[in-house]
Amino acid sequence: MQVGQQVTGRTYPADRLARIVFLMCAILLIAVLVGVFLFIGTNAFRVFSEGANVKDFFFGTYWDPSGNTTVSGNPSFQAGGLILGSIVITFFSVLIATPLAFGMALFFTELSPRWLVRLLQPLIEVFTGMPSVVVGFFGLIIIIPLLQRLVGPLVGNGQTAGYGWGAAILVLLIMILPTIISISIDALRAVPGSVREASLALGSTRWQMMTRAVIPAATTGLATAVVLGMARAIGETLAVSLVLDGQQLPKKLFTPAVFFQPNVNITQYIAIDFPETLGVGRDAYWTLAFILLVISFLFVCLSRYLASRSVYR
Amino acid sequence: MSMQQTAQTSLAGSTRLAEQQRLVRRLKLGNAVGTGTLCGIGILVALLFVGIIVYLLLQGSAYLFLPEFYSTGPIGIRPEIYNTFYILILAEIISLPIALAAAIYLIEYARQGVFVTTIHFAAETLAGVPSIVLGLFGVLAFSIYAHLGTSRAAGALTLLCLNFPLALRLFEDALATVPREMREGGLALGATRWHMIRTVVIPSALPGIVTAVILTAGKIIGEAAALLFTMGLNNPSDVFTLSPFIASDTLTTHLYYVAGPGAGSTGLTTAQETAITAGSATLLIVLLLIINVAARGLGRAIQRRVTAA
Amino acid sequence: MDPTRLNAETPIRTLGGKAPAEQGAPLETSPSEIIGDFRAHEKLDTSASIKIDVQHLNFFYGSKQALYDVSIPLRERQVTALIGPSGCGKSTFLRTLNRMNDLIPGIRTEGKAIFDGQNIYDKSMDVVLLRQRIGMVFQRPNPFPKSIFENVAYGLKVQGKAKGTVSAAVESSLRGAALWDEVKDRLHTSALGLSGGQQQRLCIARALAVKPDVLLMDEPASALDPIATLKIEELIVELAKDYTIVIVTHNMQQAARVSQFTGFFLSGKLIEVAPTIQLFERPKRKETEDYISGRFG
Repeated sequence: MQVGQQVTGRTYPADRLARIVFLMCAILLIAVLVGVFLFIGTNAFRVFSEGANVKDFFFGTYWDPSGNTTVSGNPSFQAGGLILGSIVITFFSVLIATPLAFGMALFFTELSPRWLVRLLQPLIEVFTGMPSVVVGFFGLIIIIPLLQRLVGPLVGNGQTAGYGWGAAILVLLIMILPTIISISIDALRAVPGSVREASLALGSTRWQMMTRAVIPAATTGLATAVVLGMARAIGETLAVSLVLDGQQLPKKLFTPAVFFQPNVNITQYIAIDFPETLGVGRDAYWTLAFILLVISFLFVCLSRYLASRSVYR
Repeated sequence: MSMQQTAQTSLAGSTRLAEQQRLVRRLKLGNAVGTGTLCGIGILVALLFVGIIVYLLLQGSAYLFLPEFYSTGPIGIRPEIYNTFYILILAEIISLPIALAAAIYLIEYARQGVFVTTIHFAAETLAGVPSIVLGLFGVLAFSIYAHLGTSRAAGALTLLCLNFPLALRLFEDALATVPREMREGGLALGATRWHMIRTVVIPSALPGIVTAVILTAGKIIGEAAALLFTMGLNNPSDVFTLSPFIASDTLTTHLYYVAGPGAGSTGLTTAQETAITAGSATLLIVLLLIINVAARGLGRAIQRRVTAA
Repeated sequence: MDPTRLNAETPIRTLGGKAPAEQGAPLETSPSEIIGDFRAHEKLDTSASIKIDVQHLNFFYGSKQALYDVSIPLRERQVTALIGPSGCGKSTFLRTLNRMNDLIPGIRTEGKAIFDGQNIYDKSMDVVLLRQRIGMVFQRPNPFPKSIFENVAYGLKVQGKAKGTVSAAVESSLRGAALWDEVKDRLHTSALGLSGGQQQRLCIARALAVKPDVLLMDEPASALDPIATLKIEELIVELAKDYTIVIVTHNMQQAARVSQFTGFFLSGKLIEVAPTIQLFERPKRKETEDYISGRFG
């Protein structure tokens, strides 16, 4: 024991202290998460005691928590338009992104030669890390003028035709594609080679092997990819905020033109309006934040459930 | 078998063969269409990615060579560059040791069980929280409750919350690559756990740790939503100090402001605004690419040094 | 001996000779004592027509040669066993027959294997069609993560067969693989819930469902326990009545039990091929004799 102490110079108290410190740091993670839920959650329900009612909050469409633009000057807590906006752009961006992402992932894992894989892998990784503002900026300088030129004359909005849900969907598409692609690639790679061999040995073509053997074996992983893509889409703020540019939900909802005019969603409004809002109005934004928090939590639970049901890890 | 039977079987066999050949030809057509479509999609998506990156690089590249771009003048973004690196360093100093400590506990001390699962679940949940929500949490917890106001300190603490899950996972991966035999060797020589971790595990996990530092840096540089309200969109006059209690904007929040909410109201001409936004976007892409290359290259280089030595 | 009646209670000793688990051990009992029980050698037919005629096959992984001038006739409705120490190329050879080696980049094949008048190794050979006619069972059972029914039906559905045909074919294949009685009540449960031996018989049923002419088996029982192995061996002898079978095995007793012809591979060369009894009792080459008597391998 004496010799050991001389050689390594360690002391038992230091060891115990280190262990406790490390444990504290691990627990800190849980503390942070609990803190997030607590801080936002406790502030989220205040708005309902200040004049908002639940039904209007979720289904009414006039959002003005500061009361700046209402006739009476009273705040209007109706987030239905924002919620609809978030749902619409998330739904459509995931709808378009998923087949493209699956196609890319299949191309990557089943059809690409090794040199191409070595090139594509870093490309996908770089793109996953694209800052949200930069993609939003790209949307501003390329996508919006493009949409203006293509759709403006059809919709008749002139200058503002490029903005709105259409542009937001395209921007989200760019942001979530790499996410869905990466996770899909992992899911496809988890399917062992023996499954592919078995299919080919039975006389199937490569395409049949992919569609009848590999994809069915990877369904939970692929579903996880889509869920995580959706989670990313619904929380995306800056990119979407730069291209939406809206104040309220437009009046005419059920025409295709609704995609091509300035519009709203939850995250965009938070980004734009939160700093301007004080006092009671702020409480409404805590509520919105809480809604996003709960939605993202549900997505994580869903993806963990899917992961637990996977056949191959 | 009689001659007749043999002839009959071979006739049946040859029609069967012909049938099979027709079938296979149809299947191959389907195969060609399917795999062709996949190749098309793959190439399209790859070109899309490359195209976007190249376009963003080029469109603002001219501004990167203007000295005014790096000044404090109207189109100068020197304050933002300073702030970006300031907050990067501050956030990393705060978050990395904590995340590393937590990772060490999970890998080296904890037994696989409820505790580890809970931590991982919490990390996944925290990682899934949209950064704007974390920003709002930061306003509540750090700006208001902790009385830090709109400041770099509040921003750095918010980044801690944002960074924690990613850093934790990367550090866990790095520590997990150390083979069990190395740990057992250290313990067998009579070292305590902590001593063994310090002298055996961490040096061995160094490539992964360095990669983790670089990748989290990349994420922080690109982050804006969490800093929007906690760190602000303006710079006070003493922006180049080391004080963590002043508000400041970064490359990303500045880009967002000038391109979006603040467009036309910053007192700058459109040309100047374009210079700032285009240049900042290009600069951010350049930084992103450098970080990615560094993460791959440095990690590998250190690995070679560590294993060769 | 009805393979479907073998169960966990069947004592191994009643089947004669050494337990199959002792793989690669020298033959202390005389070959005819072991061969006797399955009586495979009684079905030997040296005049059976040649189903696949392999001529001067040379095979390369890139620049490394793996098979040297292999020539072997594979006769119709006979079981040909390929034996040899690990790494001698017998699995590689087997996989050239259904062009599964094509999945590996950089391979090169020289020589011919004439199957129904066509050269298997020819670049213009339609591999999809080839694999529908030459089936394969792998070393480790590899059922799809689907139901038992879907597994067996896979090859048929790939060929677009109608539902009625498929159901009938699934049943007959499962019967042919001696698995029907055990799974007929749970056809739509996951195949991954079966035991290893059952999964392997499932893979055999799956391969049989497309009615191939030839069945290639790459060490089909090496991942299985002794009882399951015995069942597989019985099955092989039974299947040989209708199919041409080529089986790779590193278990000499197994080769002796089930095959009519045996080929001995060593370091990528086919040293000797002969009727099984002849190879084991009167081997012509010294290398063969050394291997059989256990001096190496």
